[in-house]
Amino acid sequence: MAARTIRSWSPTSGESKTTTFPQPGRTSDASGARPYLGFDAATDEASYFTFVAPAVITTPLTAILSFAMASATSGNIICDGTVEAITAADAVDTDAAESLDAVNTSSATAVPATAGYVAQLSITLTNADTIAAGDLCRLRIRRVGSNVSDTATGDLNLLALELRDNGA
Amino acid sequence: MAILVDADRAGVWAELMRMRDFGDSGVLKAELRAAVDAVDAWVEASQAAFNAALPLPARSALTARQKAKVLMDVVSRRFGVI
Repeated sequence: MAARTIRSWSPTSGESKTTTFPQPGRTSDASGARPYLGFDAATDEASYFTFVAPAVITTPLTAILSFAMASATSGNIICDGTVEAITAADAVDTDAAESLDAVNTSSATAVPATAGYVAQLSITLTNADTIAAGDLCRLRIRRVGSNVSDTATGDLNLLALELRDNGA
Repeated sequence: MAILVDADRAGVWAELMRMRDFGDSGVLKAELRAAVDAVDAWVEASQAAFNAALPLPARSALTARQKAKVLMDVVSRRFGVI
């Protein structure tokens, strides 16, 4: 089966808690003022992306992060993706709690040798909270700056996020 | 004055990593942290020598904080940090 893109987001779609959130920013006017979310090198910062599971969805899902480093020209990054899938009438009080599945962690991914160049990082979402068509879902994307294998300095600037399923 | 506690060293390290020119150096996070730790240790070991280098009456009249400010400003100016 060929993977299908079921959703993509710009960084401005990211939703964040009041702490440990990536810093929103824009690149220079000369570059077209691209929006980004800057994920810190030293702190585990996360952003959430909301979607409704499409009527036809197959697992496993894969998250693809398009990113550029703010300054780093060497080293690796580690990110994780976590899914929350709420079916109508599930016992989840959305005012009071979240119900994320277990994290899915990427492999260590080398950053481009030039800051500002785009690379992509893939996370297979093996743990997807038994997602089903019509579920109210959130995908939490986090840079795990505290991971010893995340060795690149400076911010990871997320430029776009894509979600793929396993195809028809 | 003792060396910085781990959280303070980590705070310095994190702030440095937010500065654009540190990433351009190709230095990895652990290597930058080692540099922070080494500088803190060097400051600890060099306090007495620095103090002795100050002429009187500044040596006795200035507080440790004021002496640190003198050092910061001179070093920053010498190396183009400010």
